[in-house]
Amino acid sequence: MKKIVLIISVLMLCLCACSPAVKDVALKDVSEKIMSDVALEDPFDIGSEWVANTYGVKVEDIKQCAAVVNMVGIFPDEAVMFEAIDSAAADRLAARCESRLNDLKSQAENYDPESYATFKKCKVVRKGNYVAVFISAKTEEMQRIFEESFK
Amino acid sequence: MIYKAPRNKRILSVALLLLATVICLSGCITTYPDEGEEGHESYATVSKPDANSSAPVISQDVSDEQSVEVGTTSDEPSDEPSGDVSEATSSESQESNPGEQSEVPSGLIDANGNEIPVADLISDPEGTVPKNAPVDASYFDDAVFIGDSISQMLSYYEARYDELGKAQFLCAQSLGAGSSLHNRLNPVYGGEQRRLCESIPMTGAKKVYVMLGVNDLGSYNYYYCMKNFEDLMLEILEAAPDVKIYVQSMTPISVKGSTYLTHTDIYNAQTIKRYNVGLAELCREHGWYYLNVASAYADEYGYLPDECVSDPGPKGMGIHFTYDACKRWIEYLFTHAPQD
Repeated sequence: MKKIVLIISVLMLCLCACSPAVKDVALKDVSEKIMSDVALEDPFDIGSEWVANTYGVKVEDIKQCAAVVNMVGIFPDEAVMFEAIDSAAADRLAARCESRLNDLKSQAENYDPESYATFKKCKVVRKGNYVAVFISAKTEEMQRIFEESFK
Repeated sequence: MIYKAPRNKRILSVALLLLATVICLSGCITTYPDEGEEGHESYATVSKPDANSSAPVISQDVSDEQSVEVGTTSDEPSDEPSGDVSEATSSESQESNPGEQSEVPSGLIDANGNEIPVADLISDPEGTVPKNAPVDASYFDDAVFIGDSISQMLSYYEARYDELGKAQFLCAQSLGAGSSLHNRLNPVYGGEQRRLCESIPMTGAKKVYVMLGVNDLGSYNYYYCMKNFEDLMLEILEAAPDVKIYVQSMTPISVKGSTYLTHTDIYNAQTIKRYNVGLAELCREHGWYYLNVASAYADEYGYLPDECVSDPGPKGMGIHFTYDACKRWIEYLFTHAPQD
């Protein structure tokens, strides 16, 4: 009997441990906080249509999305966040974000060294089914706001 | 009857339980090679997915300053299969290339061989689409805009203010006719960099608005600027024969832009005018529409006014637009739709 209880306990612990306990977050709130807290020049919410076209993501993979950009400099700041419908969709979205980042690196390489150096510091961030990329000199600030929203 | 396990077995069970818990917890946390701060997961940056999508290579004979700020996407590439692009970026190379192309195009020199007044640098070249009554935004529903970072700004403006109907955008920073034609850099469509002759048909657009130039002028002499542009348009038309080409002039630069971008042999009001006159000639030859967008901006000396510049010098390039300048651009497009 004790063995059975033990096995069940272990299984339950396994199940609990494997379920990502990520808090539900409204990405629009996060984007608004980025716009208010990070010193960006005239940021605005560019909308999911632009994101879908630019990132080449499947709309059916997305539960929610928020994107902030501005129109300053050669490579404007860009903060894009997704919540995927499931883990597999999150993988696909992360790959698209990675691709976008690499495209911008390609464009900046040999063209705008300052932006290229910035892009090299940027990375795709994932929290459960949430995926984000912050392509900006302020990437760390944006990432911190994103992560703090899950606490 | 209660079974009582021996003490060592109980210890073993507890140890197993703890071990299993630790394994489960650690197994469910994905660790990536480039993991950053605690509390988030990050993906390591991957290398370029496709050699064809690599960034243009800087020409060896371009100064560092030029290669940095001008975005000299030199297309002279030793690996160029066609071998047709052998020009250098310097003005010297511009003189050393095909003689017939080094002639100053008509419109810059008057009949007596005198340079035309600077004020005329913004005048419409022959064949320019004239000003008409404004069209509806729906006119742009089947339009796609091709361009570099200047057009990219317009795409951001459009995403924010939604004034150009359902227009689509195929833009990339540092895009030029040469880099696109030789597939060193192309805009992303559907999440992938594609040649324009591939992506334009995918958009379903029937009106193709093109604005390129600033990245070509820094990389090619006049002859190849024109040749690459023409070849690119012909390649697009071969893939999408039912589209209409709307060539937009290169827009002016600011006198307060980076010092090595402005007032050089490569970038000044005269070279931009020359480039635009060349585009207008191509348009007349092929029956494409020519839109002198530059005329909406240039000051009396052919330069971009301060209030239009979002990246003034000396650190900025002095070529990118403010919101108001984008609005001016859109107003120009609305009032310069061909009537035929």
